[in-house]
Amino acid sequence: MHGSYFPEIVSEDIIGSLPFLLLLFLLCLTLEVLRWFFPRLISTSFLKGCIVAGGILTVWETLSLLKLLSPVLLPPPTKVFSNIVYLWSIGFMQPQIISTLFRLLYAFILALVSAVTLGILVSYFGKRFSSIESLINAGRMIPAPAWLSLAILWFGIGHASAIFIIWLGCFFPIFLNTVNGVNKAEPVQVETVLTYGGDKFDVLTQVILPVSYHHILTGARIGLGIGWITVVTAELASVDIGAGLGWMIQDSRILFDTTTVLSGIIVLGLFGMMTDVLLKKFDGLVQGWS
Amino acid sequence: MDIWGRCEIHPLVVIAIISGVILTTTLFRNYSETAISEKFYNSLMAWSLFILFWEGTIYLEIIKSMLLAPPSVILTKAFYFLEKGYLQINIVSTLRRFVAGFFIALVLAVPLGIALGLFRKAYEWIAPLLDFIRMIPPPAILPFAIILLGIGESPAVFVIALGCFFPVLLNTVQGVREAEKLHVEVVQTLGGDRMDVLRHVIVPSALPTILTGIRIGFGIGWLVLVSAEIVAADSGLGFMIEGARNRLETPTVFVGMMTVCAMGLAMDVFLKKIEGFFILRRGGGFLQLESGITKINKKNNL
Repeated sequence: MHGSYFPEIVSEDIIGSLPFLLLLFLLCLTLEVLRWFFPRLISTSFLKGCIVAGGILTVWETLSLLKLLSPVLLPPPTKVFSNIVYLWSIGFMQPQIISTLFRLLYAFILALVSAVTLGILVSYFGKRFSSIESLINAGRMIPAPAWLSLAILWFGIGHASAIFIIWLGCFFPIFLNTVNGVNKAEPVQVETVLTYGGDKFDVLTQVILPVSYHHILTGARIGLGIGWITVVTAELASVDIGAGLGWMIQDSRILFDTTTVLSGIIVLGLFGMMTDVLLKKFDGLVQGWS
Repeated sequence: MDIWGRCEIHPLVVIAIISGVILTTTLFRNYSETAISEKFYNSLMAWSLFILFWEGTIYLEIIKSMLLAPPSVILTKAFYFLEKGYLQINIVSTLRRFVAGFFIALVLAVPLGIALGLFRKAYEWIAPLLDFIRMIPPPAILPFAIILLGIGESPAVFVIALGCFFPVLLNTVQGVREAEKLHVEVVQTLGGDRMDVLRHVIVPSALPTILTGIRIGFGIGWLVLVSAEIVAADSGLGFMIEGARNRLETPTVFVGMMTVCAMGLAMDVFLKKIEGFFILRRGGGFLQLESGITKINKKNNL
């Protein structure tokens, strides 16, 4: 069954060990030189990260070159790098990335909209909310992956059940942070807007959203982290055969193809970092609002 | 226990009991208002109505019982499993796995976090790398861990430890950095050495932040635990849930989920209690410093 989905692995090393090490060295050198000329473009922390990562890769590659590491259990970085390029070039990697990102972002946006709306509503009707607080707390303590079995029963195998559990995972952090943030709005501010003749909508846009904005973003970042964990779990448990980075990792683990496993992990890490940095940037972008 | 294993709880029994609870508490409240607090009464009502609704919709066959098991069946199943010892076995193996991973994470993360918090230069160098590793979802490492460590307990424990590790580490670093410079200088002026600074200033003032990190790490670890058990385990609550799903035993899925929920809730409350205890005892960092100064003076025969 794997054969029909999984491409034959015929990737050759597109780069030798010594050129790879040289390339790493040159890359770090170029970054350092670039930093001389454009200190703003390349931050120090980025350069330091590159240098440390380069050092670790060098040690790893050298150990593999000296045959101290088993190439089956821990393939050298050149092989992993070649494999990523190869999987990309035959068009196998892209659909996996797209389907993982589609599930995650679909559920995340759904969670963001529903959690913020519900959070604002709940803090508006604060008193009645306190009676269902313990119910919600109990629901929150069931980890999202535990819902996977029920989700597959309800929605079948495919995108829908994955999206459902990712939504559940993202929902609670955003919801609780929104409630927390809205409660931070001072009654004085609300009353000021009301005194100047604003209606409830003005209170929402002028006071509540700006005040709770940072809390919502904090919740969104926590929620996104949980969302990543949940999406990978759903794919590892084969919520959808033949799509997703998690499925790729699990399937190549079964085939004992460690290189593809590592490739998948690294691509996941890169995308995870990218989404996190984007959300952080978003925080800085709209900071002027409040 | 023998009786519970055999008898089945009828849906009407659950409905009757819950209605009875609602009626009695309401009557009791009408009789004396102060006996039951408003908050407790409200949440009791919410829970009762929730269970009543849940049981009722399935009893009236509005929802198929295959898709959503009613509380009566879940209870029956839970008592049956308790009697057979099936639930206990799974709880013990889940707990063992979790505690092992959690403690490995704590033992590694707290000292490392204190060291990295003290040596800022070192932290600056490895922070970008840590940020990268932090963003890899721990379950994604699971297949790799299985290849490296073999099938069994160790991959799951490794992944749980990884999930708990980063929140604890980052919070420890932050807590150590927030230690007051003035307090450090006070201890140094009184002739304390580096160990004294660590013991009397840095650790006490970082403790609440570390405990918050531990609580966050617990949440992530609990999540990763369940996902690791669903993907790769031969025992534990996650395995029980996944196995029941394969056999289309919806009640068992619910029993597993509720046990996970109850255990998570209990541990969360426990950690919150510990956190509250230490924050109260700390007394704003200053009381701790005072007792530290006395100890240093005693050591120097002053």
